[in-house]
Amino acid sequence: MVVAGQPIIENLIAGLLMGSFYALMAVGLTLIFGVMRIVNFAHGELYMLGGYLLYYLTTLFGLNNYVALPIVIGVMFVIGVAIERALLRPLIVEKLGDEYSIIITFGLSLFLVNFAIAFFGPEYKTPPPYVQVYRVQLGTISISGDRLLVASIAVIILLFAYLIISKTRIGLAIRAAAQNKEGAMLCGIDIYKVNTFTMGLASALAGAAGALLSTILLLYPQAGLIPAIKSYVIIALGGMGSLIGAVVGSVILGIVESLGTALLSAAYRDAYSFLVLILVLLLRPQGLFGARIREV
Amino acid sequence: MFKISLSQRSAPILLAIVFLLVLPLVVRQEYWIYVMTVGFYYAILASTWNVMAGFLGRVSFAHAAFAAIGAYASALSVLHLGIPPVVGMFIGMAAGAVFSLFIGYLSLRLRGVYFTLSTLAFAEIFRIVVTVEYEYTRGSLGLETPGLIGGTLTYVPYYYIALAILLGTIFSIYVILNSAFGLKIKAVGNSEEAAEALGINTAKVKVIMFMFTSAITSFAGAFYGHLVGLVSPEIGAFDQLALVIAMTVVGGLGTLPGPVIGALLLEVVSEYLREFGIFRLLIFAGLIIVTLRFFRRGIYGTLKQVIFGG
Repeated sequence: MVVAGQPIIENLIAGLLMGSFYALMAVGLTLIFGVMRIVNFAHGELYMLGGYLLYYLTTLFGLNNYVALPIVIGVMFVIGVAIERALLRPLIVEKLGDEYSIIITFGLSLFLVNFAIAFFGPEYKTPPPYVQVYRVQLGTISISGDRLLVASIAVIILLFAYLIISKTRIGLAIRAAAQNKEGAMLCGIDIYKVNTFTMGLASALAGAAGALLSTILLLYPQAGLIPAIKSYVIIALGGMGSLIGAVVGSVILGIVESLGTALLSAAYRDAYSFLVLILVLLLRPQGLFGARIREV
Repeated sequence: MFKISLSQRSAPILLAIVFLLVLPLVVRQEYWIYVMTVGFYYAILASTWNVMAGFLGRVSFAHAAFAAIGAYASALSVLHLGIPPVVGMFIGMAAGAVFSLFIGYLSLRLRGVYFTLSTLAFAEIFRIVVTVEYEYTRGSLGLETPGLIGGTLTYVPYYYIALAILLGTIFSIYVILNSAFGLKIKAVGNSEEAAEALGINTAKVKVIMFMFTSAITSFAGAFYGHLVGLVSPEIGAFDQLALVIAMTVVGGLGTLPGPVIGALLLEVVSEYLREFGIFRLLIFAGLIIVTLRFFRRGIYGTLKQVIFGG
């Protein structure tokens, strides 16, 4: 909505904030792709599960949001590990094609959505907010206070993930596996362990995104679909498997959406990502930071 | 005419066709004839989806969306141009071909998962456009559209039309797969690198097959719209896509009879599951996961292996 005053700057900031949530989703997705060469089509449902975990921890157990958030992240890590062990393991053991990973993660996504409809209910839910202040004034610009705080938490979590990947031994193994799987195995890296950990980390990040964003947006069983589609566009835009690409792509998409909403049409807010995807495929299929992919 | 020899191979197929032809004469309940007609519709969708996913290894998430494109194109042209629904179905088919050429050209030149991502984004955008452009589409309320045959009170004609479209679809897939072009399809499905090295234009093979399968899907979608008399975004919903995927996977991915078996079986089963309502899709999702994880060849492939071995 264009309001008199500083509409463009306000929209830019709103876009940046959204970008930080998208990044939580997209970084995990691009990590999975980098290491396992698959796209997780149940990524949106990990977001949704994170939201519901926070909702029930705060409403049923009366926990504070800040206590509940680390628990959500921990549980989501375990869920990610379980998914890799139960469903994705045959990918490397039996060397299956793309269609297996796509259909099995799609099936998982469908299962989780309908599990949520059946057991959490189809109606909208709102977990308690992280902070009660609703507007922050910066000069003439007014920003939604809870969005600002929640986005800051998202950035902190992202930095943590970055530290894990760049400074720890398992992070080194992840980077090695992403660069060259066979080479990493020759160096004695346990590729199974790397896959499992990557899936756990990505799941924890997506769950965190859900636990944060669902306090601002609504929470419902299909809530993960739109954020997931956007993060697919983002990793295509940034370059599949590229971490920096995922972060930059998230910011770009967040800004494109909020400017598009302000300048063109709000009804088509969620459609702009598709235009971005078309442009990427037409002009730079390997994405902004991706290694050149081979055309066939 | 084709010379049909009653070999071991064709006998069960002929028996199945005869069975389906006489079924409405035996089962005289309109309800079950309608269920079977819808089952044929799903069998068409599952068979065409299976060509891309099972034979070419390319998963489309826009399959239900293409059915909806056909349904909307047909309903809108019947409504505004006053043409008969039969002609509308062919307009729907053309619309599906045009959109699939666009998506296919964009994303099938690339290796990897880009195609699937594009179809997913496209399906979602289609849903948004239909919901937002209320003036033309009446949003989620849906468009009322006339029946294919005026003045009929029974579903029996629809049953035979759907069966004819299904048999035509499977026959053309069979012919294509067993032609010289079919060899290219199998080569691309096995290894794109190897196919490319043999001088096959793999992008062209994939785009042609995507157009072919999407056009049939849109045609079937248009038929479905005129069958139920209401065209709403539901036709293109992810639930519908999920159903088609479950049917194909359960029946047997990458086999010709598998999707048909899966579609008819799950459609009838889902009528019995109607009272469980919300658990229906949960069960189907579970079936997708369990089948793919433990019985990768589905019902048809597993039975074939058990009976004939190998």
